[in-house]
Amino acid sequence: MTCKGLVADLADYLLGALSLMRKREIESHLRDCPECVALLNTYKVTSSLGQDIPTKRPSADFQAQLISSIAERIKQGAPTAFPSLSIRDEPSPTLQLLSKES
Amino acid sequence: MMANNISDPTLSLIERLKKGNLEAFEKVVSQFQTRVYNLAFRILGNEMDAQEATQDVFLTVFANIHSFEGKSSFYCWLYRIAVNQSLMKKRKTEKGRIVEFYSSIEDFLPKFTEEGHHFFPIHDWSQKAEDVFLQKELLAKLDFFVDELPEIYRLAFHLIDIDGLSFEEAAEVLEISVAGVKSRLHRSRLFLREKLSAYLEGQ
Repeated sequence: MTCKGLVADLADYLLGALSLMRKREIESHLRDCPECVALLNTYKVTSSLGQDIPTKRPSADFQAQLISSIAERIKQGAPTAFPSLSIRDEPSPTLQLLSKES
Repeated sequence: MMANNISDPTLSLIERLKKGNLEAFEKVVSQFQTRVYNLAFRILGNEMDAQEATQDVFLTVFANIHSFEGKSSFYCWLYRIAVNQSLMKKRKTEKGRIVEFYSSIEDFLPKFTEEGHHFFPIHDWSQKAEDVFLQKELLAKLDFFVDELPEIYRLAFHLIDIDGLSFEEAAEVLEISVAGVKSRLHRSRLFLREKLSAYLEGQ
């Protein structure tokens, strides 16, 4: 088990998704590698800080304006003038682009 | 802070949405508008575009609710619309040019010697990150660094580590495999860890 190998399996190790043997290899390596311990600790903190990033909120009147737009559309009896997105059967072209980039 | 527990609207609420019930729609908007707005903001980077995109998302939901068959959770369906709408708006705004801070994040990932050892020293700043006086600034920096990530990594980190979706849910939203999500998330965390390291070492 090298440091490189540990980093590659780090996410799965933290998820508890590794085999027992692989988990033991990692823990054995951690006992002798303070740098990997440092990386593990800081990786965990980086991930957990994500949920504490302050939430951004739309303006106070946003919801009222949106509901008003919808109410207007209902009154007009039209499904909507807004171009509807077919999202049931067709994979979106934009997300297909993202898929290729994985 | 986002709550990680996202509960789906009830079946009866969805049925009322399909009948065009405005009160039902208000409930859904109230429940999800902040999450959708944050996701749109993460993609678009400014308040005005994020607000417009958020409105477009809910109008799309309203127009297409009849096509929601319940095969996925409602909020995964909603998130997929949100990602799609925001990306389309971004492409239109940039007229097809994708402008990103870094085209590649390789320079910020750990480096190794031929034997597989760390090439550069790694410092443990995890205790420093618990300092309450540093927290606000650290979170602001992290938020900024997330925005520096290339889009595919930024979305993975936002959906899972910020918004609390599972790997399976994020895979459904992004229309990629779970393995793809895990890989993107892992690389995004390594990038952000490195960025925070550089920042904290300067403190």
